[in-house]
Amino acid sequence: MRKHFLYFSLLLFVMMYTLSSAIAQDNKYKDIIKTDGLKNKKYLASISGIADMELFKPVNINLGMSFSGSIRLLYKPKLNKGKSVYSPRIIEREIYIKPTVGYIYRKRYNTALFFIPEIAYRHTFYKGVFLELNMDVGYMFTKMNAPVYERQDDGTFKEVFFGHHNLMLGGKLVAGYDFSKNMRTPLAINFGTGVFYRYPSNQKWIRHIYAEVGLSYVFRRAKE
Amino acid sequence: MQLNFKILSILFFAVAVLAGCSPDPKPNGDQVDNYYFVKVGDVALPVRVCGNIKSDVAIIFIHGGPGGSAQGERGNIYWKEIEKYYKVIYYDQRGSGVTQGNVPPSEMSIEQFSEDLDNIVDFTKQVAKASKVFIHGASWGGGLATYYLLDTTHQNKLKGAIIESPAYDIKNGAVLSIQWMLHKADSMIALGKNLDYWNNCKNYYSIHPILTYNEFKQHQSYLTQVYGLVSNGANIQVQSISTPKVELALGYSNAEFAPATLTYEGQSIFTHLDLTSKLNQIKLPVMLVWGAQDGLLPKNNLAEKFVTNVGSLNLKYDDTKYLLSAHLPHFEEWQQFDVDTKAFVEANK
Repeated sequence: MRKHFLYFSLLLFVMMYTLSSAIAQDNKYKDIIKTDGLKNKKYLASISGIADMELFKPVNINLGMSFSGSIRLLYKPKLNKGKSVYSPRIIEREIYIKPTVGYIYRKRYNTALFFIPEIAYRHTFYKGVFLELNMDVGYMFTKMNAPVYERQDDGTFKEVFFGHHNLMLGGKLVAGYDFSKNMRTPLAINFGTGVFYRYPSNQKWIRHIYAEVGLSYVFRRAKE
Repeated sequence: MQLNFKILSILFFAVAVLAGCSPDPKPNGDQVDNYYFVKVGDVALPVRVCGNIKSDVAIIFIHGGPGGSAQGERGNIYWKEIEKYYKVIYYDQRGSGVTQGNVPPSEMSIEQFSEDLDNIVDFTKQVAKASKVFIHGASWGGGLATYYLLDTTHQNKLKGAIIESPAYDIKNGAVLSIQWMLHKADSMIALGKNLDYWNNCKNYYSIHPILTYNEFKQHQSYLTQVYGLVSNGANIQVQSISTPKVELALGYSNAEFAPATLTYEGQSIFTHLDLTSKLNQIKLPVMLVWGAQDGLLPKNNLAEKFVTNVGSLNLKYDDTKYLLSAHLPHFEEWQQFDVDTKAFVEANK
């Protein structure tokens, strides 16, 4: 319980500190969000808290974090009619590639370290609310979280470093709010749920369901 | 305003760190509770060492299933008393419980499981620092323990073995279990209870006269209806324990994998495991325990056959005990089991 408290305190601290220091200029992005062609560049730097949930009895929650950098590959804005011709409603449709590294910690069992290049489609509505669908294929290393001993040829036991290599396959659905779209703050928050499978375990896929809450720093720049 | 906010954030974080940095609750007094993994090939067998830190006597618990787990076994109140006096080693077998790794079906054999158990015995002596080691095998674990003891080299490493309702002869035990079940079905029909269900039960066994892995789940379902696995659940007592943060989905996957793949001499254990002719090779002290109400591996005549064939001259078995228990007496009559275990260990250590 105390470990969970420390984990959530750390996450809250990062979010609060970032919010307190991320004040942009008024109307900074007003002229950057353009509708004709790729007129702006956009990058994201994200940190997320993960809760890997075992829904069997007893319910078991293991915590982790992930860090990703998002690079926008495709941008297709859509212009909807607004209240006047001078204030159109811009809907952003984007595809990102998001190299992600992270971990999930299971006390006295294993720590799962993963690297996944995510492909994401993000649909941002005119007010800043967005939905994002991610697909992941990557690598996971599960390291044992207790001393590992192996019997040697002479019959003695020696402590060794040990873990397993896994393929990771999954996806997630995320919703959030992009403050940088209509406000002066270059941040976005998101929350969602996902599933991933790791392989192999006795030639089988082992399923995990997780929840995620994250914070992103949004870099928007006008393209020359 | 911005600076004050930053200072408050830092102070908040500092307080959270101090509050959160408390150590895990330590076992009381002379008790130990340590986790390890024992690597055998590409698998990591989880091993938990609990009990009296000062004792040089250890009991290795060999879980049942196959495919079960020893991680929750400590919740059985029986072990609370045993851990006061001795070290107890709880480990999950290959491809079972929450053991990690990618085990090919070719390695899921009783022969390999015996080799894994030998690793655990040596680990117990060297790392857990117990010079006198006993094994306690229950159900499938009793069958594995029996196979392990067929090797004289293995016997020489141990002081004794506690064998509880052992699956040393699944091939004939399944036939006896079906007969036991059919007798119970007839009784239920004679009492006029749920006639359709029990007639279907009898029909099921006429279609499946030999139980393979595929039929065992249904068979256990029928046994549960007539208390053939647990005779009286009210006798069972549990205690709260901590468990590692395992992948529960893995445990469920292994519970299916192990029974479906386990072999003896290359054939499925459900149709081919019969160690009766080799029991005479077991010479070390043995305590045999069998519940009178056991429907999965009926005491009559599996217990008598074990007693008749085992080679040990120091066999402790009382046919008049455990009359209230079904398949696992150390759950149902744990007080008597505690007394018998301590007497056996003290007499043979």
